[in-house]
Amino acid sequence: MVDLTRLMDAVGELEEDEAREILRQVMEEGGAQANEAMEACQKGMDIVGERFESGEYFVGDLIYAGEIMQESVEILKDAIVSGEGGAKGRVLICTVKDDLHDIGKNIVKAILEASGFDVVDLGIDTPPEKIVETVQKEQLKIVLLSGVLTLAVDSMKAVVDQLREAGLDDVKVLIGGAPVNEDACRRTGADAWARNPQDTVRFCQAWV
Amino acid sequence: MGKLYNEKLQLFRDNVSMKHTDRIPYLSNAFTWKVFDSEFSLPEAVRDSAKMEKAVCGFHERYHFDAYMDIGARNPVRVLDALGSSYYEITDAGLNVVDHVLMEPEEYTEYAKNPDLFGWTKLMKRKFPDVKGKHIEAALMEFLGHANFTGQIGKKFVEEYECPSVYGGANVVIPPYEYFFQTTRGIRNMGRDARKYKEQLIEAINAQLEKNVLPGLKYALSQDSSMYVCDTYMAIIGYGILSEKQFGEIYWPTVKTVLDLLDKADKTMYVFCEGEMLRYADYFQDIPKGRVVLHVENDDIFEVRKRLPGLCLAGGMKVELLGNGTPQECVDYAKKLIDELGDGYIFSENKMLSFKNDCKRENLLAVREFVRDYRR
Repeated sequence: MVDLTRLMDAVGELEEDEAREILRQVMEEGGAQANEAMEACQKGMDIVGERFESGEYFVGDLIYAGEIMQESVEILKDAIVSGEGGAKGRVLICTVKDDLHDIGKNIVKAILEASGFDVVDLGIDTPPEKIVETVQKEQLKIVLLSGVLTLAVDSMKAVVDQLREAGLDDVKVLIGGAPVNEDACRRTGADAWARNPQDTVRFCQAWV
Repeated sequence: MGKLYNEKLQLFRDNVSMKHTDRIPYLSNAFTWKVFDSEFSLPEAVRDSAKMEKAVCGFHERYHFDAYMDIGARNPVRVLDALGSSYYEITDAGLNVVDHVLMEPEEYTEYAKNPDLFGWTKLMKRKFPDVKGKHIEAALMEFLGHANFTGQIGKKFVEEYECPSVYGGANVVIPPYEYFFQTTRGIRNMGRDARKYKEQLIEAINAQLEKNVLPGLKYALSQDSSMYVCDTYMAIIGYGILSEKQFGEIYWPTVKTVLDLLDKADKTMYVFCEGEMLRYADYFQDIPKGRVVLHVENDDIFEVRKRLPGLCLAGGMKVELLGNGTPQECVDYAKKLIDELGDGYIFSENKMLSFKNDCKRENLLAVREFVRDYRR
């Protein structure tokens, strides 16, 4: 049996090697503790979030934490059993058309997954048509749009416009990234904008 | 250098020294937007120096800025094409730089022992894996062509347009952390390295400082740079992922060494602070007046002025306003910038004008006219 508190602390302290060792031990022992281990990782990510908000951790640490979380999921995936009700909610995330940056998107994705969301990731440079098509096909109600370049704001607006033209008025759209602010939110017609991953999670939790 | 050139140079230098001037100089921070404002597409202009020259000169003849951050020479695309590099991704929408990972964190110590040897024997091979002699020959020819273009257009801006450059191409300082952040480890790895491989990273950073940065800086400081607005230039970008504590431990010591050397040599530096620098403003408080220009990008420039009243600031004109506002809204904001920032200010766009919708021609013309005539 592994010490789950130790696992939680290892993720929170960004002790990648220790976290990996504990997770592998879970699997070597047959994976019976996989679900509890995943919860411990999620609590570890909460510690990361708290430290980010207090200023102790910054963006580089969030990138690192996101990668630890992705690896944790990878190690545990064969033993994780979906419980009743499954994920807290499903969201679509992508970097918008003509923008190739994915670090911010990946951080948000990892933290959303750590918070129990099922995330459909369309990657980078995503055309609005593909987003609308996926929303319709997967019956998603939350769309998260990321971008770093100033041109991303125009691409975000195109997504909102096409979603509304397709009659998907009940789909909530949140935008985030370097060029995004209150003004960009108003111009694009998005429902909200977020300065950091924690705010994104809070909006998603409120919307599901 | 003609009379107008010297007048412009003095106008900039007086602002660097925080003196009152009868007008505020306008430094254009337009990069690839100059092409979007021309008859050419970006992919064709970056690979055709005649078209680039036409776009850049047409841009100057339209707006007549006092100086430029770029005159079309920044991206030697054809040189990298010849080497088979995928460093740039160029489309009709804009130019992106692709993040590359060329070394592992376990190699920091080896790098520190001999940066040049590591660079030539390992990094070059990894960056250009398929390069043969014929590629190097072709790249050299392209490099000569690019150097020729740079020299020609530079001469035209000095002699015909009487426009000073902000800095000389050989006087660029790349902080050691930026070297690893931008060229060898990739952005996403640097967060992990700052935690997990901190000692090795600092060892490599110190080696890069001693063996490459300081010798280059000392050479630059020994040269005549009297024709430029500032003697040296430095862009800081990678600090944006570090916590304040990490910045103090990993990044700032090398920058402080550079700034101390600059101060000792009585020279100036233009520092482009990409992203947000306000978190680190305290570190800049001890820089002597007149030594540095800080170009701030995403920060509230009025707040930066409050925190750093003794430093010349540049930037401030919001690209989102130039791209989405009306001429009057842009002029009103330009007036606010000049009125509230006072002496020691170089008017410029906060971000590089890079993409098509970053700016509207009528807005830029209105702002240019206003800045030229205001205070007179």
